[in-house]
Amino acid sequence: MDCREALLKLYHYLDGELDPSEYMDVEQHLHNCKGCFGKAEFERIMKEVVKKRCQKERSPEHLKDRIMELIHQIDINSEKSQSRPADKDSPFNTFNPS
Amino acid sequence: MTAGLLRRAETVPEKNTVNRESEFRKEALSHTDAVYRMALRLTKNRVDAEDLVQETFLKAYRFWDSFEQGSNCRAWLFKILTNLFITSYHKKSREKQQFTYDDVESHYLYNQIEGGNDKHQFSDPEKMLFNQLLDDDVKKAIEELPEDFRIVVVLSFVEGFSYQEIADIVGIQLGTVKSRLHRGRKLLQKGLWQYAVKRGIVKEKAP
Ligand SMILES: [Zn+2]
Repeated sequence: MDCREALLKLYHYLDGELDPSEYMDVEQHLHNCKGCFGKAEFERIMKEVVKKRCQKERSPEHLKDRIMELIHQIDINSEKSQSRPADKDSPFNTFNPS
Repeated sequence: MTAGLLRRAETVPEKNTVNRESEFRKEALSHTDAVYRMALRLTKNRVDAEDLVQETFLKAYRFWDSFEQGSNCRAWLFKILTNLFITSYHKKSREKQQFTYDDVESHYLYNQIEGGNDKHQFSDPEKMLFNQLLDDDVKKAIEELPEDFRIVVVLSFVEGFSYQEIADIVGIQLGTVKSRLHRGRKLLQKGLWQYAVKRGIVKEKAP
């Protein structure tokens, strides 16, 4: 594998999208070629840095609460609209066919 | 209604509300942070991001029974999110999409730093550059990417989805994923370089 081919496959290599034999070929080339190795390392680090820098934010607590509340509301409304008299006494909705 | 009763009798035991909600909480809501971060990168602001996340989960809940248990819930949520963003949010926001598709060379950032005449402003260029960039610089560089490229870059870089998963999430061909990701990478490198210049981490070179 020459430099041109190695660089062509570099992104697929970094993204884990090569099959094992291709992967080995690229790895082999990077092992023997300082120039390509430098480029690959740089790209790899960049990818890692982007990931790390963008993974710190957490969703606000109130958002989760609001979603659960709305979901609960959907359930209540759909139960109402389906008018199930039998459900009234049974909060766990155990329907007995017999 | 008899039809309702019949249907219920056939599907006994019906998933009851309490189970359904707790199952959803466990399986789907555990991905809220990731979904929220994606929404932030797409909408670029907290208010719209929260709306988009809420809309995503409500839609997911409505279709929860059609979600195949055991399959990739995170990918499924990202698909709903991306779809909602592209189809509804996007129309509202009227994002400025005048983007000049001037071609950026491959390994742009690397070449800027490693190549050039004033070789080695620093001994360990990657560390130097990436450590000094702020989180906000990186996020802004991503957010400044045109939408099509931004979506695949975030799904790949940040969320680690495979090319095939990205194709399914966005609803595009595998080849399109590859070309958008390739171009997105180059544009991102250019963007990061510009922030590095702005921060005085590197000196701008004459073009
Ligand atoms: Zn080489």
